[in-house]
Amino acid sequence: MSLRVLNPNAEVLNKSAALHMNINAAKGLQDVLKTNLGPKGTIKMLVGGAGDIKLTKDGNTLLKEMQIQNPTAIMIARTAVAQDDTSGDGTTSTVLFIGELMKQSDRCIDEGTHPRFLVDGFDVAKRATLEFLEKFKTPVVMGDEPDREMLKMIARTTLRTKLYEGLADQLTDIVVNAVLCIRKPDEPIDLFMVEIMHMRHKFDVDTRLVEGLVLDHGSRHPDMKRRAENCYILTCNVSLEYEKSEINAGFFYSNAEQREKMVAAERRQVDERVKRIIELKNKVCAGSDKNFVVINQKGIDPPSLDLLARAGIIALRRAKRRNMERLVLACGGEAVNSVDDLTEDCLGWAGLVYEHTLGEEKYTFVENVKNPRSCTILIKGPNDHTIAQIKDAVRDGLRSVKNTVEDEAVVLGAGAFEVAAKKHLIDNVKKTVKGRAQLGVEAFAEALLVIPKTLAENSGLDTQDVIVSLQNEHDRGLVVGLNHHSGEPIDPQMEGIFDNYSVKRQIINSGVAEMGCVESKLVAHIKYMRVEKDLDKKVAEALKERTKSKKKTFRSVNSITMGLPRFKEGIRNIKDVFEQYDEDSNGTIDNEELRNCLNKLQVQLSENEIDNIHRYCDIDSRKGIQFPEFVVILCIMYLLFGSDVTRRVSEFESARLNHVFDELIDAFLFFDKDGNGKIKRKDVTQRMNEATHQERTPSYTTTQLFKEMDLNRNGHVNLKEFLFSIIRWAGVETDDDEASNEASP
Amino acid sequence: MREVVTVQVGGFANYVGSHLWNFQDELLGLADDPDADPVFKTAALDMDVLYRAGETHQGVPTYCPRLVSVGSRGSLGSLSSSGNLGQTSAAVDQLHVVTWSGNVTRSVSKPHGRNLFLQSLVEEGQNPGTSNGGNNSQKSIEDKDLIKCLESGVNFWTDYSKVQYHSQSLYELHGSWTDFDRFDNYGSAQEVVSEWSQIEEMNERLRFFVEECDHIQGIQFIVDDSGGFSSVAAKFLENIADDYTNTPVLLYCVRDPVTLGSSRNQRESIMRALHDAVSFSKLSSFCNLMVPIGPPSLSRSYMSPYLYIQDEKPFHSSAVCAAAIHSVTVPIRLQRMGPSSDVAHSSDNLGIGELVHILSDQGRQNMVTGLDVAMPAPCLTDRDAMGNIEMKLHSLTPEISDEDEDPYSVESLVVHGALDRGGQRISISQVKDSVCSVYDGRETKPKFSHLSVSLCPLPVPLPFPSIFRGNIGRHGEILSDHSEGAQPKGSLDIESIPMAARLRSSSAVLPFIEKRSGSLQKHGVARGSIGSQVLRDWGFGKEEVEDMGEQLAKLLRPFHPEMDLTSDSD
Repeated sequence: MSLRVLNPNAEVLNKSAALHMNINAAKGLQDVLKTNLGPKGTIKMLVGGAGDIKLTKDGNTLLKEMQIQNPTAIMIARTAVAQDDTSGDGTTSTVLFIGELMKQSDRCIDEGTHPRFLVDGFDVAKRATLEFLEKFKTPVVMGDEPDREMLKMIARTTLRTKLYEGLADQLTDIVVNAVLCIRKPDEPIDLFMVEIMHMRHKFDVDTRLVEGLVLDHGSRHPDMKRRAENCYILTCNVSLEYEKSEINAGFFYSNAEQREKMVAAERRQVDERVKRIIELKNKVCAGSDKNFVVINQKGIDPPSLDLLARAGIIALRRAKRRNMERLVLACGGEAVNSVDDLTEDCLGWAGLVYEHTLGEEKYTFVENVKNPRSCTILIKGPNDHTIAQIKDAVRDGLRSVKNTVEDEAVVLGAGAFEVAAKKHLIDNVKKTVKGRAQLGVEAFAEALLVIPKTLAENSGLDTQDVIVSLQNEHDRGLVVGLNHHSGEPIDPQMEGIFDNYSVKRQIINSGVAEMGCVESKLVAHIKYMRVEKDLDKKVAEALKERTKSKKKTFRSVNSITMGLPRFKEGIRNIKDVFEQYDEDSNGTIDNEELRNCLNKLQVQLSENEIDNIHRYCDIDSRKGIQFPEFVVILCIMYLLFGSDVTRRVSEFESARLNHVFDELIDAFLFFDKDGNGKIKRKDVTQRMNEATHQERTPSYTTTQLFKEMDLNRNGHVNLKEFLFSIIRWAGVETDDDEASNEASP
Repeated sequence: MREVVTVQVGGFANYVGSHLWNFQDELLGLADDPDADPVFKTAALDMDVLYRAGETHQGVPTYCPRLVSVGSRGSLGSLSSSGNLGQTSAAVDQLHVVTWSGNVTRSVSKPHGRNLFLQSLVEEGQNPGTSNGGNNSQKSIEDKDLIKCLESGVNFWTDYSKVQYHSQSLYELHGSWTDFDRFDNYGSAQEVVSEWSQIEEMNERLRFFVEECDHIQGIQFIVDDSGGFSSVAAKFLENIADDYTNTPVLLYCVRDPVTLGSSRNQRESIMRALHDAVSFSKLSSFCNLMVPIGPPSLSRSYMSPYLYIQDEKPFHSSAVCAAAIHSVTVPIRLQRMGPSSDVAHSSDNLGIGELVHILSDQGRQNMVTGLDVAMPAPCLTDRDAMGNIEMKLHSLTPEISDEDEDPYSVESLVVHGALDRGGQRISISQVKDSVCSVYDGRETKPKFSHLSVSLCPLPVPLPFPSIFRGNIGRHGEILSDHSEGAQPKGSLDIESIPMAARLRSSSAVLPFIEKRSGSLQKHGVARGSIGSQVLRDWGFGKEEVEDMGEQLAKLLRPFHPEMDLTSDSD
């Protein structure tokens, strides 16, 4: 996982996408999502380049819209989205929590705590918090008749964070009823059995629950009824159109008459199937005012429609595959795949079937069904972006109800849990831990408070006041949350504010199950960034020394380009050395091998530092040090420790290598004008355009060039990135692989 | 009338499609235009095959392509994904958020500007009176500017599209962790195709168009198979095969010549080879007829005496592919012949099903066909070598052999709008005679050849690139007296072009298949190679790789009848 994330290829996301926000640090991610949280959060309207509008208050949706560049931010985003996939909510909270945890760790590490202790502390704290959650949760008995009020409260809590109160309350009933409709005792709830259909029409408050099904198409025959009561429903997957059947595929008509004959024969087969349906209709509807509706997954051609219309049957063709399943659950009966199986038992029943037309769009409502096990939420709204936002909110509402039914528990909301858990950690857990790991527990506890803090902030309240008063109440033994209107402590139980147990659990776990320990990865990452910074600094200093002493080798970009073949020649000689140190000859130098190698070079480095160098120079997405990266290492060692290094690499080649390395480093310095060890895009553009009296290099070329060099996409190129790119351009690797010639003609 | 639904998936496929629909739009306009060449009216193609009539919410009638176009997020440029029908976009900052009573933050990205051409379309739509009548001389100056603007820069396929799309037609894929700039191999689409809701949405869009069809004759599918979109298309095709079992699918795999550039290192070239093999295997298993299009260079091809194409411009190269695909689809849109029909204007209709049947169910039963095109078609009445249509057809399918003599080959030839030496249109029977005489003169005759002829040439719409050389006349005739080195001609100088195109199923395509089969064997199956690691990264297990190998072997079998025996005995 961490490798993937550190992979430079994965860093720029959604580049061509319409958006918007450029996240440069985990901090930025947190800042953007922070305002989302809670019923007082801010909704975001995103407008794309072509004027497309997206409206969202959902952390998950927003994350997917963002361009994220910072690898840590990406890791957090992925974790948060995974959270949404499993439990349907809590994306924003996850981002805030992890972000806060990182901030806390950063502080501790700055103060000198070893990450190891923090991680231990986190581990203890996490386990303790989960245990505490078990005790803290409010059990809900589901049984045969679930507690409807409880479900409504939880749905309302979710919906009110996404929609204004009036609409949220209206949808609360719809969402709860929908889930209870499809729920079967002792079976997991399949939310796909709630169809979500939308109409661009009227207002958001016209959204309603249809106990039955709404299909987005109508009958295709002018004589079929547009409205029928007391209907038998035949759900089938039978082709009622003339098609060239497989059997005749090898056959050729020798004349027109024969062709007509064949067509007639095939037509007869289709007609036969239609007749079977009509027979059944006549049998069940004879002498009554009952109607007959055929809903077919396959096609029905005009002659068949004609026959059916004449028999008084309403027929719909090309129904959605999933609707076959839903229809049967809503109306009863079973879906048939062949007219041979037709019996009365296959038929379902609906009290009312009618068609609704909006412009060219047609909708067929199948309503008044008995005992439905599938239903439709029909969302209405004046425009597409409103509909889309309501749809997202409805999905979240459905998930929250489903979670509650399955968890058989809820957790007090409005920040009550976080404050209580913090108190528990500080009062009870911290002292069970020895030594510095206590700091980890403390940091974890502090990070939990980010939820009530953000809620308060979004409501325009003073964060510290709020936290203090909440903690005071908790100290007095009361479990309270935050009233987002007044900032006063409230009892969430009384107000009916509840969160999902499984969502809370997930947030604390932060997807640990899949990712291993997130925190330790984060800490490792922070550490790694530090190492990288240190080495960068070392290299930069060495470079500065050089600028002082040496005169410039290169005067123009062209002279560097001309030098490429020379570099290649020089570098090629190191190949043998590489192979010598690559002891298991797998094309990669691993940590152990590097250690041996550097020992032979007699550079004064501790094991720790060697580890760091190994990581520092593992530039591309492939694990370990491959040949180009090996060259980078040697070159940097040469820079840091002087010509002794190359002498130990190879007595004979030493002079030549020195020359090549000198040139490479000078080439870097040529671009790096201010000598701080970093090339900026401006530098590249400037260098590319000076001294050439020809036309200006187009900016996309320089941008492209820079992009290729800036492997970690942080906006500047340091020596290792530069060297790696040059080696790549020189084509060292390509040339050594004979196979490539065949593969790329 | 039998309907066709068109699907376009991927960047270059949409470039091709955009030209293709411009041709159709031009045909529609010319049929209504009293000043136009009467051939466009009398020999009109049946547009209802590709188009659907509908109406907007406001009750305004519409006539739109029956099309599902899939592209990456942001690839639509200034066109909104809800199509351009009856869109009146209000100013963003005045938009009121009805679903939220709290704070709103707006984040507006810089709008994509409409180029000159699109602006002129909008104006034309607003005051249609001026476009037809009005001052003619003034208009032509303006047109010149429009063409210049398109030649100087096309960034999106929508930049030169003059067609109105239905709101269900345009679908943008999004993938939060997918970088569409690096969408260059089969594995890069993993995240996109694994997201169930996106695939479902594509299916739903297609279903919308298919449901309306009384009798669908087939689906023509254009895919840009140079990168991750072939994975998207494969998934889509798989669903189509499931849902519309007996509906034939005609698949064109198109490629931008630029994407075929050389690889930088061994790993990249192995990935390329594997991508080609995997996408060929996957795509071919879910369609009925496959037509690979995309020569490595059009500028240096045999067409260069007549056409001046800049390979680096997808705007140019896609125009040629689109013209060829248009010609291939001519027979499926000819009016069906009843006993009373007018034989003078078009020859017999050939549905997609029949086309597939002719090409892939006979002879070798090979489903991978080559596409050859003559643009412009030579004059057919001449009996000398210049007039030999066979010589003038040049392949757009890459990596095929020049070996022409296959006694088992099966082909479908389309000639439309053919001219004689004097620049006059020649009748259908004349075309038939002349083609027959050419075939009679051949040493190895194809096993079966179908000929479709129409009088209606390829119209050149205004946004067509200026790719014709000076030796092409106003109606696409080849001029013998012309000044060398003249400016390339475009839509202002040339009204229409006679075309000939041929789909041919023969052993010429064998190297194309062999290469793919070979690279899968070489890189993918061998254990411990970089290739097998790549395939694993793309999410293929060992069995899947074997299945793909099997599929490729199956495609090779028609050319090696003896292989059948050995595999049976195994």
